[in-house]
Amino acid sequence: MKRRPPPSVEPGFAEFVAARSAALFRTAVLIAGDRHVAEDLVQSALERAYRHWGRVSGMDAPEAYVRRILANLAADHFRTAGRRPVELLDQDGAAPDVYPHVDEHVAVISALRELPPRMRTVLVLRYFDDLTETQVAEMLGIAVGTVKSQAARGLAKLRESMDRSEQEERTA
Amino acid sequence: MMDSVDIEERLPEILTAEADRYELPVFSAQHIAESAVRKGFWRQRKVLLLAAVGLLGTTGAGGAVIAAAGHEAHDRVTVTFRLNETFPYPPTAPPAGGVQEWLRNRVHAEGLKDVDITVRQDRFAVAVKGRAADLERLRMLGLPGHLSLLRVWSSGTVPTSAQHCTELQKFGPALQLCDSSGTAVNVSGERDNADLHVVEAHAEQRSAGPDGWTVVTRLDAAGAQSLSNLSGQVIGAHERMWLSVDATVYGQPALTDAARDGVVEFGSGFTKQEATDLATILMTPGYDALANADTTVTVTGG
Repeated sequence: MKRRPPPSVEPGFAEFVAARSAALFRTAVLIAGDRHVAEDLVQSALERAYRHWGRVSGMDAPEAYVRRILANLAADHFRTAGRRPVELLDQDGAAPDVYPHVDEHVAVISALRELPPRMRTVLVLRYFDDLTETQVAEMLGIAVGTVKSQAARGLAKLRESMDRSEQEERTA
Repeated sequence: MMDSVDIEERLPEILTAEADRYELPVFSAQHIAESAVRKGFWRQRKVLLLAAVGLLGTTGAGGAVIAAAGHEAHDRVTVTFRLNETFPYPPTAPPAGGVQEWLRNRVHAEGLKDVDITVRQDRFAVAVKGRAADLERLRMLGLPGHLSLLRVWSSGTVPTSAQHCTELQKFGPALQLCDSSGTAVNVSGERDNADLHVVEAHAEQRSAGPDGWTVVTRLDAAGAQSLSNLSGQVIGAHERMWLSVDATVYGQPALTDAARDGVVEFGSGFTKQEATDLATILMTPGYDALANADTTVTVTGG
């Protein structure tokens, strides 16, 4: 049991949430493919970080630590929920699509959704968050070689999917 | 259509466009902080409850198993604390003297007897061996001192007879805790109870003689409000509001004029040492590496 802390939030935490929660949510929604799951993941990751905020705030990169928690929570979520791919363009209140290459976008995102969760997470951290292979490896607690192989396989699957989509478009 | 060669270059743009489709939610730091504390509190309360009723259960982020079912009064238990994978490593060093010395001081302040402490240096792991009857208190050694206001059934009401604390049982929504003499008292369900944050605690002598000491605590504003709300409630004829420290019930709070400012006294019959130890426990900040560790409990015969 813990004592109830003072009603005020730990110094720096409110600023961190205000500054970084949106970026964390964007990563989470790409990994999870569902805004409600993503919100829950970010909320849980921030809660865990808050429990250790005295230490986390003193780290060189607090956000990296929170992202690591987020990635682990996402892995736990998919282990619990099974590996059923999430639906694309579900009715979750997303804003209208303004991306010009709609077919291309849908095909890539559909393929991404069908990847194994860990592989999808590697691609999101590598190509959306722009982390290095070493940073992704540290964040997920896996070897750099595994990051390379997961990313390569993920990209290969996306390419296959794109090729299939292109073939279908030509024959249609 | 993009060709397969440039997908690696296009993927960041596609992912960004996909992320842009979602309206950003607003996260409240205040709500997150409150939720974090609440969940941490109930996680530990769950551990206490499971330990008290001697059930098999799970706890902690790693889901460690409690294997202390059906222990006997003469049994010895070993609580092993292991750092879980989400906790930053290496853990913060405890105050001077290291974790072993910190634990010895805490064990002494808690009044726990026959405790052996073993620290493994290779990776954070601490084993604390003690009496089975002290299991729940051994598990809470890393936590900050905890003061709570509990709804307690007076002796003779449901559940009936007082039992020794090695025979704790759960009665529906009720839970039994020990009082300071080792007798079980019947505590209501968790939702009725209030967790109080102590800003300051010290021992004061209220009357002459060795047992004339009390513990004076000052609560924060939220704690003062909780105390005011709960102590003002009309409760059943056989119920009272008592204060507990780290799962041991010490009696009714003495509410003086200063209670409006969050000052509350309890336990008027303490010796100086007892009152000082309790004040020390209430003021300890805990040790976060132990408080957040996964714990495993094993039982050995006495």
